Amino acid sequence: MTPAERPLSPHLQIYKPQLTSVLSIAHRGTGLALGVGAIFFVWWLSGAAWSDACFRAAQAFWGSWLGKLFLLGWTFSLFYHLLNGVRHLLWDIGFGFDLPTTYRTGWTVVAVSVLLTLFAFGGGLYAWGSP
Amino acid sequence: MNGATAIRHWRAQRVSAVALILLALWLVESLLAHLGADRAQIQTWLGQPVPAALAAALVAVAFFHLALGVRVVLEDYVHTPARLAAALAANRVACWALALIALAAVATLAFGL
Amino acid sequence: MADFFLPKNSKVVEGHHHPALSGAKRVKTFRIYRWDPEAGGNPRMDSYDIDLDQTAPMVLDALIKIKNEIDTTVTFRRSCREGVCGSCAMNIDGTNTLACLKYIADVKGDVEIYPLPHLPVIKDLVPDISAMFEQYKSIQPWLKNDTPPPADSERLQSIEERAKLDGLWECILCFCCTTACPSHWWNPDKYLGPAVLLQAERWLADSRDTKTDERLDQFEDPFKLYRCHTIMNCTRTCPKSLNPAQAIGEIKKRMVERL
Repeated sequence: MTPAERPLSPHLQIYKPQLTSVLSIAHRGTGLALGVGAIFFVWWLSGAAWSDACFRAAQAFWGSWLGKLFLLGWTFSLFYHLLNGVRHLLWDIGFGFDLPTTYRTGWTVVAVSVLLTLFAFGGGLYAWGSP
Repeated sequence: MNGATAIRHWRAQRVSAVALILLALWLVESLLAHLGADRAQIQTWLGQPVPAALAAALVAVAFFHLALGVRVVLEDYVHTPARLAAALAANRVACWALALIALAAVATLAFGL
Repeated sequence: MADFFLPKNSKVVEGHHHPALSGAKRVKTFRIYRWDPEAGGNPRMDSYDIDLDQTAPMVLDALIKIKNEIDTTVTFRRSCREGVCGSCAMNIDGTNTLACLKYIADVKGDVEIYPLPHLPVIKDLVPDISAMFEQYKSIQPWLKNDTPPPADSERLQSIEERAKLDGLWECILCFCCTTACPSHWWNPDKYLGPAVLLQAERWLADSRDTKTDERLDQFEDPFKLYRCHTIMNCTRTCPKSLNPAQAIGEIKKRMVERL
């Protein structure tokens, strides 16, 4: 009798999310989000350079509810990707590989990027509201 | 991508990352300072040499870094050779195009064209 | 595309329940992945209630008890039962580890046991790990030195040179790390994975080995080494508390330094 075709053992489905893998995929996700943000940035920049209508459309988008939500996402993505990027650079020159340090730097990156986001975005909203 | 290219790719991603630390912080600071600015104010700002140079450096390095990063993601997940080649080419073209448009826009603003 | 989802034949269904004997006081449920090549069909999760008062403390003890007393068909690898052979590597409570080193008491709720992730299953908790051993072979894990050894002694190392191998030689090739690595899940045929790369560094770091350059040549490839994105799942899961991510970092440093 020929044995049945071997199944593939479960992986993503069962592996427990943990700080190591979650922060890693978040680095990738925020990087891609910043890529999308860069396209919007070019749209705005082109408007400033060449077209009143295009510039006003971009400005109106940032002012909208959805635009602000996007800005919030990009602000967090930028701070997170930047700080976690520094964490990666430190690993690349050989620092912080031990598990306690990895967890400490990981949580620090999360906390500081949330704080900086609240600070920059909150400050921005306040300044925008009262020019 | 052949062998030595793999190491250079890895190194280029890190070197561009280091440059982006300062350029990205400058961008955040500048955008916060120009919230709600009208087109004339943006034109005045990027008409100055230092902000224009920094903006040009930012878009050039950022799209370079983005192209490298997206390439790694595509190589990780796309396994059909033809599809991977198409996706890598699309990534290259898109990043080059966006970078060139952005640089042209910065130049226009910088030189008041 | 990378296989993020399980193929149809690999989806896990609910299996049989084996209740505890009456009179059991401290009951713990073990849910175990089952697949029998002769029966075919989809894998299933069978559950076994056992009395912890009648069981030794490790997950492997529970597995052996289940096999001896409840269901002799449960299949798993085990040998030394003290963390030096690497046979009983499996996924317990969502992370890879050795069943013989994992305390039952450290698992809250039911103890879920799967084979090592993203591998072809031979039977129950026994996955096919031969592809990873082929990758191990590819790095030529033996001392390479063309000069003859001294006539009257072995090839000697200073205490400092020998110390560079600490944290590398202890690896038992259980592959907990490699099968915890998402990057290896998506490119198991092209990326060597943390266990094999840690072994590669073990020979790169050996003062008696003279083929460092030759060994590094093989990593001039976008996949074998550079699919490591420092996710750190390997270091997080290693049951021997080794640091494969750091070893891979050392190889990347060697690569840049000789560029």
